[in-house]
Amino acid sequence: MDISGRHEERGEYLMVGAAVAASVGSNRIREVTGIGLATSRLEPTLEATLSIADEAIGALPDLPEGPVVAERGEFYEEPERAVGASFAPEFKYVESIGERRTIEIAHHAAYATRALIL
Amino acid sequence: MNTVIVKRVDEGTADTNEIRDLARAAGYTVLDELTQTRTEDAAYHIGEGKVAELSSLVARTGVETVIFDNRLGPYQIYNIGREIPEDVEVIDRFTLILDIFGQRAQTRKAQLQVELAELRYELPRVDAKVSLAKREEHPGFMGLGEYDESRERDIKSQISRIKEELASIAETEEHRREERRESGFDLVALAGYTNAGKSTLLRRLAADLAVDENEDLHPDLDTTAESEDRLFTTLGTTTRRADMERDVLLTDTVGFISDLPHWLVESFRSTLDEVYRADLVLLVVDVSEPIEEIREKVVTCHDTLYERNEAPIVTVLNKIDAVDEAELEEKRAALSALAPDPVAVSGKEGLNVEALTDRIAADLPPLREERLVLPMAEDTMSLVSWLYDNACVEEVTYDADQVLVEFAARPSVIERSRSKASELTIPESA
Repeated sequence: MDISGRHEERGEYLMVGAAVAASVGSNRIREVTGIGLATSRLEPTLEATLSIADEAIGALPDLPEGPVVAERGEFYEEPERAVGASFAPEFKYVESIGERRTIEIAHHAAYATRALIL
Repeated sequence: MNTVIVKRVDEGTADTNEIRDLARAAGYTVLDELTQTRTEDAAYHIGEGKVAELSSLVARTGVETVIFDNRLGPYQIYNIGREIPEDVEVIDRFTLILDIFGQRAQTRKAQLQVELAELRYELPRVDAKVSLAKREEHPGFMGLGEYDESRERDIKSQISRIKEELASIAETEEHRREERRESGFDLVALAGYTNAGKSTLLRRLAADLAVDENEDLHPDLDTTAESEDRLFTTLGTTTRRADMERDVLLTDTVGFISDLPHWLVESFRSTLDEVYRADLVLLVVDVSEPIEEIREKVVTCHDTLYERNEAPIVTVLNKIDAVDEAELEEKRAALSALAPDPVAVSGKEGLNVEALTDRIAADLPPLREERLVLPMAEDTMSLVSWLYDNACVEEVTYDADQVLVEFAARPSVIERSRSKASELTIPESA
């Protein structure tokens, strides 16, 4: 899960969230099974980022079996348990190389989508 | 040298086990400790009341140093120094790690890397130190000499000189890695948190004979890897030939540790290249530790490997002699996401080492099968001999005017064997 665009531009916000569903090994992505995207014009508060993440996960072709994974800074360093309360699947912060590589794909997807919209 | 440990955490309880081990590894005797759970204080890092407590603890114990398991800014070191008895040095976690590295650095490369890390640590602090040095003399500033406005320029030119020398060493090492690959060797690196048992495991896996002990040609080769229950006993690299059918070189290297800033990892890049450029990485984990600690350490290793590692990783749960079967299974299950298919061994007792060598052979890039028909020429037998040295020769069949060699080897060795075969000169018929 990655969110791009937390900064203000010309008095406006445009956040794009990308959820990438993938099966991963400890240091390899085995298969990417789907990408879900969501946008928001709200200020990037914790509530707004949780909401856009939830929407992006909802836009995936199938609800993932594994946990939702994000970088620590994505939800303002809030404890895992507090963030996890917002998602149907389990939530955890990134641990393995495979998870990091998947977040990297989500980051590229969110960034590129935002550039297209702008 | 006596010391007290100080550690601040934002939340939860401060664990001082690792910083105590690090202090001991640097040669300090830890007499006492202070911990605090609170947000960082800009002036002192810890709260003002805790500083007063530290001051009386230092006076009572008579220690010469105070070691913080945190990152301190120059003004914080200065401010704390003013509140505690005179001549007591304040050291933070990174200065301590650099101190250990400095003590352990045996080779030119290791010494350069430590020097580079020290200078990178120092550079952003120069301005503050210049202004503090003008106020008064104070200990705890790494003793890098007098401060004035030219210091920053000097540091930058030293950094650039060291980087140049390290780049030239790295080039030589890359060339050596390539030569070894071309000789048919696969390169396997042992990585992992400090004190996970990498050196003991290397000795267990290594053949009795080092690859080549000609120090002039291979300064990284050593007859024995360091191996004792201390942090950062291995700072350089040790390369040994593995005791297995396939030609494998094992390299033991510096251990990882948590919260290492980017500049410190970067300073040791050429040492870590041994891991990053390997064909396979064995990520060694001390399975006798508590699960949460193991998890944190494995995550630290993944953090360190993430940006540059390209090789497959096999997680090795080491020290199984210290846990029973039930505990091992519980830990294996708890780590299943981070280490889906680990191999459990004891380097110390030699338990299950054969399973590890089988796994290494299975996970290395596959060898390609090749079949060469060689004319019976003057140099044919030296080519056959070269193949025995650089490939896994399965069968050699001789007849009156040709030799058939069937073997398996790395693609680069097969390329070279074809080229050598094409150069064989067929003798003219009598």
